[in-house]
Amino acid sequence: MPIVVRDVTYSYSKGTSLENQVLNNLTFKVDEGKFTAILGDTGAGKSTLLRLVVGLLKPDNGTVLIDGFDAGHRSVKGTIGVLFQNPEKQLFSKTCYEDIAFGPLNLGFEKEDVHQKVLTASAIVGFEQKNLETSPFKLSGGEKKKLALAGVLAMEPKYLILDEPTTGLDYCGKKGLLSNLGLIHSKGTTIIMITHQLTELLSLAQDVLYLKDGTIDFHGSVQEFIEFPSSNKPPITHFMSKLNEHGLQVNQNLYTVNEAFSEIKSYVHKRMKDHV
Amino acid sequence: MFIQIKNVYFQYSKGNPVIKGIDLEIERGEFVAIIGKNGCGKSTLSKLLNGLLIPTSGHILIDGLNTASPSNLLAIRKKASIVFQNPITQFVRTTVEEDIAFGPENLNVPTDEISQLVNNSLEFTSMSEFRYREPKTLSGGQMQRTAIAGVMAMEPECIIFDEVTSMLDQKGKCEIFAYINKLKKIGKTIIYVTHRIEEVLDADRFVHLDNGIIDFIGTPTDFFKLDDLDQMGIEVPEIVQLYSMLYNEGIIKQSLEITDISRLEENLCQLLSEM
Repeated sequence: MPIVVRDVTYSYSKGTSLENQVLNNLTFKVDEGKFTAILGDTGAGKSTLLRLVVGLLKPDNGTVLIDGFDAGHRSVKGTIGVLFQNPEKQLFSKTCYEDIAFGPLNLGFEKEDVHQKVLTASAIVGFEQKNLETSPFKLSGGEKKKLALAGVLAMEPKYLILDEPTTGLDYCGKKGLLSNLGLIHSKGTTIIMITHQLTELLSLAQDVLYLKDGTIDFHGSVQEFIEFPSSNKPPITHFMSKLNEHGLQVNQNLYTVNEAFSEIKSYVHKRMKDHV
Repeated sequence: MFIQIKNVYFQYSKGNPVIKGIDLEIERGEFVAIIGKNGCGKSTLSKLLNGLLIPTSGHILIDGLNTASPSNLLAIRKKASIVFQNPITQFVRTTVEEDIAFGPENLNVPTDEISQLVNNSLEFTSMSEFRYREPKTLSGGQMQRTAIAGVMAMEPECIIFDEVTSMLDQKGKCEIFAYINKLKKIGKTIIYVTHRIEEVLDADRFVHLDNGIIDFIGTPTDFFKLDDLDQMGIEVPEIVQLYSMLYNEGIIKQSLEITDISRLEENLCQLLSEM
């Protein structure tokens, strides 16, 4: 089992008057090759959970195992790529090119291989080639996000851990990134992604882990999640249940515009036939 | 006119021009949304508006004060404050309440007034229970609320919001929008920079930036009438997309207002249930 989280509890400022328990007795597994979405309100403990999985935090109680090793153990470091919410935290080189190349160079790849990896990774995230020689800190927020992700992808990690990768990206950037994540996933990478963008994610992810006040409120498939009576519904699902409240007997468990359109269309046609 | 932008050009050192000749006037009390793709110059424009950046050519007047004159800067920043995309870069103190007090302290506000301002700002942003926390231990949404409280405590006439919701969940966003509405009601001028159209449907005007120039100024309803939104990289809210599809199919025959998503939903439900 590649990622196993067992009985994990975590508090910030433990042992002080500001002690703040964020995660409470969490247990779950992520199978190899799965795309798991972590959802939950602000402050539910999502980002803390990711830091525990990549080994940046140690649990107060319980264990986090990656391929059988403790998270943060030397032997798992090259296998996990992580993109933080704030991309500036992981940019530091003089040029964007050097920033993307940093990972693969440190993993011991030859310069030519590294060059190829830089180009491939920047193409995947849609980072403009002409910006490769500029300073990372002159880029706009969205471009910084793409750059940080390119740096992670250049290492070709087995596990990709993403904290809100689409925030700050515009529509084109987001669409491009999500379809490329789908591609990376289809090639066998295990992905765990925190997001607030329900609709796009539900078409990509297989599993949903829904956190509430530091505990797991729901863990299951995407379809089960749509049917789960949580407060967090995609806009279309929300609208379809509103239609039901207005007496229209339509399927509520839909989340794409096209599905909703077909459902409403066939419902209206049926109603008209019944009238005739 | 509260804000006047006249033929403004701007380029970062050695770089290509980012703002390429912008003219825009904003009245006191207006809610203006500046929209456009990543890298189109939105954030640069917002930094030009309170003198963090100075135009390479052309000029910007805030309530008649030219941002290019260093002696005007303090007065300009009392009038127009920015809340940035990334809240963590704007914290300077170790607790939330001290951080909020930082602005008014630097404006020489008397101590007893400061505590009143801090309390009001905390209450406005529902952050009172976190007043003794270190800002960096808060979640992204809570941090952003702290940053907004910090700006509010300086009581500026105009607040510039630069992609402030990008780290918030739906609940956090709703809180911020409710708060912005409140600010609008008490007469504050609001300039809201975003690429997420659904956040600004109730703005008085849309200003669309493309590659450093303004190619659209007008109401949101007029904006949605443009037929090249997809090419412009505009993400149309899903309910609006659904409405357009039902309208084009002839299922919905009425033309509906699309400046408020929940009203649009309500109208659609009404029309469909009457069939």
